[in-house]
Amino acid sequence: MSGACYLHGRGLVSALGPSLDTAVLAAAGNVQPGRLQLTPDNAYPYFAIADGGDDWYARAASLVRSAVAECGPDVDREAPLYLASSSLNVGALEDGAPFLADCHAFSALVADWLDWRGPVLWLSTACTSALNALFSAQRRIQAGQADEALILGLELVNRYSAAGFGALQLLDPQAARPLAAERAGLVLGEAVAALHLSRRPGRWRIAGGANLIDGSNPAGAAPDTLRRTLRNALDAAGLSPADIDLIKLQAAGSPHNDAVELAALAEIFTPLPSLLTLKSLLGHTLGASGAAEIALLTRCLESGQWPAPPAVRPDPALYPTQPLALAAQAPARVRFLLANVLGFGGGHACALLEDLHA
Amino acid sequence: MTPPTIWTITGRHFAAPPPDDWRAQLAARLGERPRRIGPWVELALYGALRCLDDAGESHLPDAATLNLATIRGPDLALRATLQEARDGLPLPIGFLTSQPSQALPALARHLDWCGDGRCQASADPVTTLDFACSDAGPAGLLAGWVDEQDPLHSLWLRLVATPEACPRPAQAAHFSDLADPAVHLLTVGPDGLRIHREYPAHG
Repeated sequence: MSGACYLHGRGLVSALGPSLDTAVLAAAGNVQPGRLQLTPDNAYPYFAIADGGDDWYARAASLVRSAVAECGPDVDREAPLYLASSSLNVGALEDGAPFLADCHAFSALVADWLDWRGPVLWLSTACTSALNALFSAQRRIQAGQADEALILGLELVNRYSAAGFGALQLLDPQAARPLAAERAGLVLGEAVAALHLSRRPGRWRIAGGANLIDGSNPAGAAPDTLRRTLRNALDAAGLSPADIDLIKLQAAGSPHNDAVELAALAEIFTPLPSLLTLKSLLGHTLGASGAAEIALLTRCLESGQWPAPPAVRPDPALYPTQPLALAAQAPARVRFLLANVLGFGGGHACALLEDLHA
Repeated sequence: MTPPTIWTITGRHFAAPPPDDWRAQLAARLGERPRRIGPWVELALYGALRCLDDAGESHLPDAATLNLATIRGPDLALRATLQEARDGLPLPIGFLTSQPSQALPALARHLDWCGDGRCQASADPVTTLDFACSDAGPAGLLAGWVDEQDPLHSLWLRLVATPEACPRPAQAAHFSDLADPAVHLLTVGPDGLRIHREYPAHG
């Protein structure tokens, strides 16, 4: 494999606003989720996109076009398009819209919204979908099989996913409390995030990554497998733990996964580099989360605006050797950042990005 | 651009539809009926295990990738569980069986594998094969096309990269040609699917 792959453009529509610029500003402040009402007596905290609209497809089309437009005018519509999503159009189906012909039909509809003419692929590995799309696109670009690719993470409001995760007792009924001692689960959110990858040089280079599926616990992370994932990602990038300046945690508020993640990181990174989580700002946007969080974090680092850490006291049991602190401001220098995403379905994924301006 | 990798088909399960008793065969192969997985995942597991058997492998190496392609996914489970959700019933198992990504941990468990994998859908099976081959690991890949409808099928190939010294596949082919046991090598890329057939020597 030869050649390099760069992040050339980004777009994000999320609970933080209709663009990355609004998201960066909003992320510096106090962000609180709303509530998603499942039944008259059952609701969960939820990070919704403020843009309303009763027609699910019309709203989705508008949000998708907006996120991709933010990537800039030079997105090649002949390139591969990766749709990374867990829930696809289930929000429309649950309100009685007819089923489309098959899984690809929704991807084809998204392609139509974008006047996309290149190959379109829906990729589903639950929460790690967008990172896996990133890795697939990177491989094709590095092998010379594509000059560009667009990753489109899409996760839009639906009661079905919330009811499913709620039934599995994976949701926090009160608040987004990543890493807190009283954390009780995920708080979901919606996002449409676009990452435009290219072989043309840009500020951010995709330095490497790794993805491993572990079948031992379909709903949670496995410690050994997460350690392997981290090591594989570092090896793929030719980096050592000491090279990493910043880690974007999964830290979704899961009692089990938050603990597994910190334990694995503590074993590999001594000392821990600066840490942050974006789940208390965006919610867990499932299949879109990798793209949404990379888009937001890279733009925050470029702008010098630092996202507010969650207003919780980190659980001392997560990192017993010293007080665990999330970075309250941007580290002095971030050349290499590591983005962790852990998935429902045994997915463990880790991406490494290099800021060539650092 | 680097020339497309030549892939050797080391294992194949391309029977469509599977035999009527495929679920009984799967249970016999596993020693028990699989639990907590839906019919679509069972179908995937049936074909994947048959393919590995054909390849003479007791498990999928961790350095191989697993690619599960589908055009409908667990559509029947999703329809049933959405109806449950409309009625306000709790749906943990139904929700799990309606998620395509849940096929991966089930396959990982039963193939004794912990590696890189994904579920995907695209317009045609050759495109998914093309993208799956791009993602292949050092030990190749196990690629499946699994759907419960139109018709029921669980088609699988075990592919391993082949040294350049072998014959370069030159014959343009359709996806259905891969069912032919004589098809031994393939490439997939901008020129579409190319195959090379090898016939056993007589006498």
